[in-house]
Amino acid sequence: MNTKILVNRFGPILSNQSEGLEIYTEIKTCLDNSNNIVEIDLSGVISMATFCAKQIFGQLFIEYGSVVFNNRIIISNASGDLKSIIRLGIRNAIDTKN
Amino acid sequence: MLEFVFPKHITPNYCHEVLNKIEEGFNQKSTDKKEATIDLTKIKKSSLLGVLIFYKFLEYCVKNNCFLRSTVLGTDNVEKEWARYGFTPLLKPLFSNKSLKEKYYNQLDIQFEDKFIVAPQPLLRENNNSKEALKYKFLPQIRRYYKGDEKKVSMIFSCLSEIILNFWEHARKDTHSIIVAYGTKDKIEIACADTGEGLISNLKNCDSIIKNKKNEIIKEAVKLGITSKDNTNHMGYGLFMLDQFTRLVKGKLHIFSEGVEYRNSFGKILTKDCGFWQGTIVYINLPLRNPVSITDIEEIKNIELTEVNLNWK
Repeated sequence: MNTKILVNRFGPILSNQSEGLEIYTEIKTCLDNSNNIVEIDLSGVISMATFCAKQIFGQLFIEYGSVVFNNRIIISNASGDLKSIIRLGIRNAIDTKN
Repeated sequence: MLEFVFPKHITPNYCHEVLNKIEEGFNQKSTDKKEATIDLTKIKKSSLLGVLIFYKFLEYCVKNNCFLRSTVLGTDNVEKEWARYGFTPLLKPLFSNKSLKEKYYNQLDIQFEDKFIVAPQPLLRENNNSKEALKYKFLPQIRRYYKGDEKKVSMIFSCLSEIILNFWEHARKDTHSIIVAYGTKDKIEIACADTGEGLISNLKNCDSIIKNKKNEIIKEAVKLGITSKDNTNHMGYGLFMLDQFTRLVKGKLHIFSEGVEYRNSFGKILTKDCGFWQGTIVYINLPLRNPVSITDIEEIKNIELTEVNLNWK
Protein backbone atom coordinates (compact mmCIF):
# COMPACT_ATOMS: atom_id res chain seq x y z
CA MET A 1 0.00 0.00 0.00
CA ASN A 2 1.17 3.52 -0.80
CA THR A 3 0.76 6.60 1.34
CA LYS A 4 0.63 9.71 -0.80
CA ILE A 5 1.77 13.09 0.48
CA LEU A 6 0.60 16.05 -1.55
CA VAL A 7 3.10 18.86 -1.31
CA ASN A 8 1.21 21.42 -3.39
CA ARG A 9 -0.93 22.37 -0.41
CA PHE A 10 2.02 24.61 0.47
CA GLY A 11 1.67 26.49 -2.80
CA PRO A 12 3.83 26.58 -5.93
CA ILE A 13 7.10 27.17 -4.10
CA LEU A 14 8.57 25.73 -0.91
CA SER A 15 10.46 28.56 0.62
CA ASN A 16 10.52 28.38 4.35
CA GLN A 17 11.79 26.24 7.15
CA SER A 18 8.47 25.51 8.83
CA GLU A 19 6.94 24.09 5.66
CA GLY A 20 10.03 21.96 5.08
CA LEU A 21 9.85 20.69 8.63
CA GLU A 22 6.17 19.81 8.29
CA ILE A 23 6.77 17.80 5.13
CA TYR A 24 9.83 16.08 6.57
CA THR A 25 7.91 15.14 9.74
CA GLU A 26 4.98 13.80 7.75
CA ILE A 27 7.21 11.58 5.63
CA LYS A 28 9.16 10.42 8.68
CA THR A 29 5.94 9.54 10.53
CA CYS A 30 4.78 7.42 7.58
CA LEU A 31 8.13 5.64 7.36
CA ASP A 32 8.24 4.97 11.10
CA ASN A 33 4.65 3.88 11.65
CA SER A 34 4.07 1.52 8.76
CA ASN A 35 5.81 -0.47 6.10
CA ASN A 36 4.05 1.51 3.42
CA ILE A 37 5.73 3.01 0.42
CA VAL A 38 5.58 6.78 0.74
CA GLU A 39 4.83 8.68 -2.44
CA ILE A 40 5.73 12.37 -2.32
CA ASP A 41 3.64 14.03 -5.00
CA LEU A 42 5.11 17.29 -6.27
CA SER A 43 2.52 18.11 -8.91
CA GLY A 44 1.81 21.84 -8.90
CA VAL A 45 5.10 22.60 -7.17
CA ILE A 46 7.29 24.77 -9.41
CA SER A 47 10.29 25.36 -7.23
CA MET A 48 11.82 24.56 -3.90
CA ALA A 49 14.49 26.47 -2.01
CA THR A 50 17.69 24.44 -1.78
CA PHE A 51 17.40 24.74 2.00
CA CYS A 52 14.11 22.82 1.94
CA ALA A 53 15.54 20.14 -0.35
CA LYS A 54 18.29 19.42 2.15
CA GLN A 55 15.96 19.75 5.10
CA ILE A 56 13.52 17.19 3.70
CA PHE A 57 15.30 14.80 1.35
CA GLY A 58 18.87 15.24 2.55
CA GLN A 59 17.92 14.69 6.16
CA LEU A 60 15.76 11.66 5.33
CA PHE A 61 18.59 10.09 3.36
CA ILE A 62 21.03 10.60 6.23
CA GLU A 63 18.59 9.13 8.75
CA TYR A 64 17.23 6.20 6.77
CA GLY A 65 20.01 5.39 4.32
CA SER A 66 19.89 4.24 0.75
CA VAL A 67 17.93 0.99 1.31
CA VAL A 68 14.86 2.67 2.77
CA PHE A 69 15.21 5.54 0.32
CA ASN A 70 15.42 3.18 -2.66
CA ASN A 71 12.64 0.86 -1.57
CA ARG A 72 10.13 2.97 0.26
CA ILE A 73 10.23 6.50 -1.14
CA ILE A 74 8.77 7.49 -4.50
CA ILE A 75 8.92 11.06 -5.73
CA SER A 76 6.25 11.74 -8.33
CA ASN A 77 5.52 14.56 -10.75
CA ALA A 78 8.78 16.40 -10.14
CA SER A 79 9.94 18.74 -12.90
CA GLY A 80 13.53 18.56 -14.15
CA ASP A 81 14.45 21.54 -11.98
CA LEU A 82 12.91 20.02 -8.88
CA LYS A 83 14.77 16.76 -9.52
CA SER A 84 18.04 18.71 -9.66
CA ILE A 85 17.28 20.61 -6.47
CA ILE A 86 16.40 17.38 -4.62
CA ARG A 87 19.59 15.69 -5.81
CA LEU A 88 21.50 18.77 -4.70
CA GLY A 89 19.92 18.64 -1.24
CA ILE A 90 20.87 14.98 -0.78
CA ARG A 91 24.39 15.50 -2.15
CA ASN A 92 24.97 18.39 0.23
CA ALA A 93 23.60 16.47 3.21
CA ILE A 94 25.98 13.58 2.48
CA ASP A 95 28.97 15.88 1.95
CA THR A 96 28.41 17.92 5.08
CA LYS A 97 27.90 14.81 7.20
CA ASN A 98 31.27 13.42 6.17
CA MET B 1 19.15 70.38 10.39
CA LEU B 2 19.85 67.33 8.25
CA GLU B 3 19.21 67.25 4.54
CA PHE B 4 19.01 64.09 2.42
CA VAL B 5 18.90 65.05 -1.23
CA PHE B 6 18.15 62.16 -3.56
CA PRO B 7 20.14 62.32 -6.83
CA LYS B 8 18.70 62.84 -10.32
CA HIS B 9 18.72 59.15 -11.12
CA ILE B 10 17.58 56.53 -8.63
CA THR B 11 17.89 53.68 -11.11
CA PRO B 12 19.84 50.53 -10.08
CA ASN B 13 23.15 51.72 -11.56
CA TYR B 14 22.92 54.91 -9.47
CA CYS B 15 21.57 53.46 -6.24
CA HIS B 16 25.06 53.54 -4.71
CA GLU B 17 24.75 57.34 -5.01
CA VAL B 18 21.40 57.21 -3.25
CA LEU B 19 23.05 55.30 -0.40
CA ASN B 20 25.88 57.86 -0.27
CA LYS B 21 23.29 60.57 0.24
CA ILE B 22 21.25 58.86 2.96
CA GLU B 23 23.78 56.89 5.02
CA GLU B 24 23.90 59.60 7.70
CA GLY B 25 20.28 58.73 8.52
CA PHE B 26 21.34 55.39 10.01
CA ASN B 27 23.57 57.22 12.51
CA GLN B 28 20.69 59.24 13.93
CA LYS B 29 19.11 56.49 15.97
CA SER B 30 21.14 57.20 19.07
CA THR B 31 22.07 60.88 18.75
CA ASP B 32 20.40 64.11 19.72
CA LYS B 33 17.38 64.46 17.51
CA LYS B 34 17.54 66.93 14.67
CA GLU B 35 15.05 68.10 12.10
CA ALA B 36 15.45 66.51 8.70
CA THR B 37 14.41 67.12 5.13
CA ILE B 38 14.27 64.32 2.57
CA ASP B 39 14.38 66.06 -0.76
CA LEU B 40 13.12 64.08 -3.76
CA THR B 41 12.59 67.04 -6.06
CA LYS B 42 15.77 66.47 -8.08
CA ILE B 43 14.69 62.97 -9.16
CA LYS B 44 14.26 62.73 -12.91
CA LYS B 45 14.53 59.01 -13.45
CA SER B 46 13.11 56.53 -10.99
CA SER B 47 12.95 52.76 -10.64
CA LEU B 48 11.44 49.96 -8.61
CA LEU B 49 14.66 49.64 -6.61
CA GLY B 50 15.00 53.39 -6.03
CA VAL B 51 11.46 53.65 -4.68
CA LEU B 52 11.99 50.61 -2.44
CA ILE B 53 15.17 52.16 -0.99
CA PHE B 54 13.39 55.44 -0.31
CA TYR B 55 10.50 53.64 1.37
CA LYS B 56 12.69 51.41 3.56
CA PHE B 57 14.88 54.36 4.55
CA LEU B 58 11.87 56.42 5.60
CA GLU B 59 10.35 53.45 7.42
CA TYR B 60 13.62 52.85 9.31
CA CYS B 61 13.87 56.51 10.32
CA VAL B 62 10.24 56.71 11.47
CA LYS B 63 10.36 53.43 13.38
CA ASN B 64 13.59 54.32 15.12
CA ASN B 65 12.63 57.93 15.84
CA CYS B 66 15.73 59.13 14.05
CA PHE B 67 14.55 62.71 13.65
CA LEU B 68 12.88 65.35 15.74
CA ARG B 69 10.69 66.09 12.78
CA SER B 70 11.04 65.25 9.09
CA THR B 71 9.75 66.75 5.89
CA VAL B 72 9.60 64.93 2.58
CA LEU B 73 9.75 67.15 -0.47
CA GLY B 74 8.35 65.45 -3.55
CA THR B 75 6.89 66.17 -6.96
CA ASP B 76 3.90 64.87 -8.88
CA ASN B 77 6.19 62.54 -10.79
CA VAL B 78 7.66 61.13 -7.60
CA GLU B 79 4.16 60.47 -6.30
CA LYS B 80 3.22 58.80 -9.57
CA GLU B 81 6.17 56.44 -9.17
CA TRP B 82 5.10 55.55 -5.62
CA ALA B 83 1.63 54.78 -6.94
CA ARG B 84 2.97 52.86 -9.92
CA TYR B 85 4.87 50.40 -7.76
CA GLY B 86 2.16 50.19 -5.10
CA PHE B 87 3.92 52.10 -2.30
CA THR B 88 1.37 54.88 -1.76
CA PRO B 89 -0.77 53.04 0.85
CA LEU B 90 2.37 52.20 2.82
CA LEU B 91 3.75 55.73 2.75
CA LYS B 92 0.60 57.44 3.98
CA PRO B 93 0.80 56.06 7.56
CA LEU B 94 4.52 56.88 7.69
CA PHE B 95 3.84 60.49 6.76
CA SER B 96 1.21 60.76 9.45
CA ASN B 97 3.43 58.96 11.97
CA LYS B 98 0.96 56.11 12.43
CA SER B 99 2.36 52.68 13.03
CA LEU B 100 2.45 50.52 9.96
CA LYS B 101 -0.10 47.82 10.52
CA GLU B 102 -0.78 44.74 8.57
CA LYS B 103 -4.02 46.17 7.25
CA TYR B 104 -2.07 48.51 4.99
CA TYR B 105 -0.40 45.58 3.32
CA ASN B 106 -3.73 43.87 2.89
CA GLN B 107 -4.87 46.76 0.74
CA LEU B 108 -2.17 45.97 -1.76
CA ASP B 109 -2.79 43.86 -4.76
CA ILE B 110 -1.15 42.61 -7.89
CA GLN B 111 -1.69 44.81 -10.91
CA PHE B 112 -1.97 43.24 -14.34
CA GLU B 113 -2.11 45.01 -17.66
CA ASP B 114 0.51 44.37 -20.29
CA LYS B 115 2.84 44.02 -17.32
CA PHE B 116 2.49 42.97 -13.72
CA ILE B 117 3.55 44.60 -10.51
CA VAL B 118 3.65 42.75 -7.24
CA ALA B 119 3.08 45.54 -4.75
CA PRO B 120 5.41 45.51 -1.74
CA GLN B 121 4.95 42.45 0.41
CA PRO B 122 6.37 41.96 3.87
CA LEU B 123 8.35 38.81 4.58
CA LEU B 124 7.43 38.06 8.14
CA ARG B 125 8.22 34.67 9.56
CA GLU B 126 5.40 34.68 12.05
CA ASN B 127 2.79 36.17 9.79
CA ASN B 128 0.66 33.64 7.94
CA ASN B 129 -1.25 36.29 6.03
CA SER B 130 1.86 37.57 4.31
CA LYS B 131 2.97 34.03 3.46
CA GLU B 132 -0.44 33.17 2.09
CA ALA B 133 -0.77 36.36 0.08
CA LEU B 134 2.51 35.64 -1.64
CA LYS B 135 1.93 31.96 -2.25
CA TYR B 136 -1.73 31.76 -3.06
CA LYS B 137 -2.45 35.19 -4.51
CA PHE B 138 0.65 36.49 -6.24
CA LEU B 139 2.56 33.46 -7.43
CA PRO B 140 -0.36 31.72 -9.20
CA GLN B 141 -1.12 34.97 -11.01
CA ILE B 142 2.48 35.35 -12.13
CA ARG B 143 2.32 31.79 -13.40
CA ARG B 144 -0.83 32.56 -15.38
CA TYR B 145 0.78 35.70 -16.79
CA TYR B 146 3.61 33.62 -18.27
CA LYS B 147 1.31 30.75 -19.19
CA GLY B 148 2.76 28.49 -21.85
CA ASP B 149 6.34 29.28 -21.00
CA GLU B 150 7.18 27.02 -18.11
CA LYS B 151 10.90 27.69 -18.41
CA LYS B 152 10.33 31.39 -17.66
CA VAL B 153 8.10 30.50 -14.74
CA SER B 154 10.61 28.02 -13.39
CA MET B 155 13.51 30.51 -13.55
CA ILE B 156 11.46 33.24 -11.90
CA PHE B 157 10.15 30.95 -9.17
CA SER B 158 13.63 29.55 -8.50
CA CYS B 159 14.84 33.10 -7.88
CA LEU B 160 11.83 33.94 -5.75
CA SER B 161 12.10 30.83 -3.59
CA GLU B 162 15.77 31.52 -2.81
CA ILE B 163 15.25 35.25 -2.18
CA ILE B 164 12.21 34.69 0.02
CA LEU B 165 13.83 31.90 2.02
CA ASN B 166 17.01 33.87 2.58
CA PHE B 167 15.30 37.04 3.72
CA TRP B 168 12.94 34.98 5.82
CA GLU B 169 15.51 32.83 7.52
CA HIS B 170 18.62 35.01 7.64
CA ALA B 171 17.03 38.02 9.26
CA ARG B 172 17.57 37.23 12.91
CA LYS B 173 14.85 39.65 13.90
CA ASP B 174 11.88 40.38 11.73
CA THR B 175 12.81 43.76 10.33
CA HIS B 176 10.03 44.03 7.82
CA SER B 177 11.84 42.67 4.82
CA ILE B 178 9.94 43.88 1.80
CA ILE B 179 9.81 42.17 -1.58
CA VAL B 180 8.47 43.82 -4.70
CA ALA B 181 8.48 42.70 -8.32
CA TYR B 182 7.81 44.11 -11.76
CA GLY B 183 7.45 41.96 -14.83
CA THR B 184 6.72 42.15 -18.53
CA LYS B 185 6.80 39.38 -21.09
CA ASP B 186 10.45 40.29 -21.76
CA LYS B 187 11.93 40.85 -18.33
CA ILE B 188 11.42 40.49 -14.59
CA GLU B 189 12.74 42.70 -11.81
CA ILE B 190 12.68 41.55 -8.19
CA ALA B 191 13.88 43.72 -5.33
CA CYS B 192 14.03 42.88 -1.65
CA ALA B 193 15.36 44.94 1.23
CA ASP B 194 15.62 44.77 4.98
CA THR B 195 17.10 46.94 7.69
CA GLY B 196 18.27 44.19 10.01
CA GLU B 197 21.70 42.68 10.46
CA GLY B 198 23.31 42.85 7.04
CA LEU B 199 24.95 40.22 4.89
CA ILE B 200 28.43 41.54 5.71
CA SER B 201 27.95 41.26 9.48
CA ASN B 202 26.37 37.84 9.06
CA LEU B 203 29.27 36.52 7.00
CA LYS B 204 32.15 38.26 8.73
CA ASN B 205 32.41 35.79 11.55
CA CYS B 206 31.64 32.60 9.70
CA ASP B 207 34.29 29.93 9.33
CA SER B 208 34.11 29.60 5.56
CA ILE B 209 34.97 33.28 5.04
CA ILE B 210 38.61 34.15 5.49
CA LYS B 211 38.41 37.64 4.01
CA ASN B 212 38.33 40.80 6.06
CA LYS B 213 37.53 43.59 3.65
CA LYS B 214 33.88 44.25 2.92
CA ASN B 215 34.29 44.16 -0.86
CA GLU B 216 36.06 40.81 -0.59
CA ILE B 217 33.36 39.43 1.70
CA ILE B 218 30.55 40.45 -0.63
CA LYS B 219 32.37 38.83 -3.55
CA GLU B 220 32.65 35.63 -1.55
CA ALA B 221 28.95 35.76 -0.68
CA VAL B 222 27.90 34.80 -4.22
CA LYS B 223 30.27 31.84 -4.39
CA LEU B 224 28.96 28.30 -4.23
CA GLY B 225 28.60 26.91 -0.72
CA ILE B 226 29.12 30.16 1.15
CA THR B 227 26.63 30.53 3.98
CA SER B 228 26.63 32.35 7.26
CA LYS B 229 24.95 29.34 8.79
CA ASP B 230 27.39 26.47 8.56
CA ASN B 231 26.26 23.07 9.86
CA THR B 232 22.62 23.74 9.10
CA ASN B 233 20.38 23.01 6.12
CA HIS B 234 21.60 26.22 4.51
CA MET B 235 23.72 25.20 1.57
CA GLY B 236 25.00 28.52 0.30
CA TYR B 237 23.23 28.23 -3.06
CA GLY B 238 20.89 31.24 -2.83
CA LEU B 239 23.05 34.13 -3.99
CA PHE B 240 25.14 31.77 -6.10
CA MET B 241 22.09 30.77 -8.12
CA LEU B 242 20.95 34.38 -8.57
CA ASP B 243 24.44 35.30 -9.76
CA GLN B 244 24.59 32.38 -12.18
CA PHE B 245 21.12 33.08 -13.63
CA THR B 246 22.20 36.70 -14.12
CA ARG B 247 25.38 35.63 -15.90
CA LEU B 248 23.62 33.10 -18.13
CA VAL B 249 20.80 35.36 -19.34
CA LYS B 250 22.94 38.53 -19.32
CA GLY B 251 20.91 40.31 -16.69
CA LYS B 252 21.79 42.46 -13.73
CA LEU B 253 22.26 41.70 -10.05
CA HIS B 254 22.98 44.30 -7.39
CA ILE B 255 23.58 43.51 -3.73
CA PHE B 256 24.10 46.31 -1.23
CA SER B 257 25.03 45.79 2.39
CA GLU B 258 26.69 47.88 5.06
CA GLY B 259 28.73 50.16 2.81
CA VAL B 260 29.56 47.91 -0.11
CA GLU B 261 27.97 46.93 -3.42
CA TYR B 262 28.31 43.78 -5.52
CA ARG B 263 27.27 44.26 -9.09
CA ASN B 264 26.93 41.70 -11.88
CA SER B 265 26.11 43.57 -15.10
CA PHE B 266 25.67 41.17 -18.00
CA GLY B 267 28.32 38.91 -16.48
CA LYS B 268 30.77 41.70 -15.68
CA ILE B 269 31.55 41.75 -11.96
CA LEU B 270 32.24 44.85 -9.93
CA THR B 271 32.47 45.46 -6.20
CA LYS B 272 32.72 48.93 -4.77
CA ASP B 273 32.31 50.93 -1.60
CA CYS B 274 29.10 52.89 -1.25
CA GLY B 275 27.05 54.61 1.41
CA PHE B 276 26.21 52.52 4.46
CA TRP B 277 22.91 50.64 4.41
CA GLN B 278 21.80 49.03 7.64
CA GLY B 279 20.82 45.58 6.35
CA THR B 280 20.80 44.06 2.90
CA ILE B 281 19.27 44.96 -0.45
CA VAL B 282 19.08 42.44 -3.31
CA TYR B 283 17.92 43.46 -6.78
CA ILE B 284 17.80 41.20 -9.83
CA ASN B 285 16.75 42.06 -13.37
CA LEU B 286 16.52 39.11 -15.75
CA PRO B 287 15.72 39.31 -19.47
CA LEU B 288 13.26 36.54 -20.34
CA ARG B 289 13.98 36.10 -24.04
CA ASN B 290 16.15 33.03 -23.43
CA PRO B 291 15.30 31.76 -19.96
CA VAL B 292 17.52 29.14 -18.39
CA SER B 293 16.94 26.52 -15.78
CA ILE B 294 18.87 25.34 -12.77
CA THR B 295 20.36 22.51 -14.80
CA ASP B 296 22.02 25.04 -17.10
CA ILE B 297 24.26 26.01 -14.21
CA GLU B 298 27.45 24.01 -14.71
CA GLU B 299 28.11 23.31 -11.03
CA ILE B 300 24.59 21.93 -10.59
CA LYS B 301 24.49 19.97 -13.85
CA ASN B 302 27.61 18.09 -12.86
CA ILE B 303 26.44 16.99 -9.42
CA GLU B 304 26.91 13.26 -9.01
CA LEU B 305 24.74 11.20 -6.72
CA THR B 306 25.78 7.59 -6.84
CA GLU B 307 24.74 6.72 -3.28
CA VAL B 308 21.04 6.40 -4.09
CA ASN B 309 18.76 5.55 -7.00
CA LEU B 310 15.88 7.90 -6.61
CA ASN B 311 12.50 6.52 -7.59
CA TRP B 312 10.98 9.14 -9.87
CA LYS B 313 7.46 8.56 -11.11
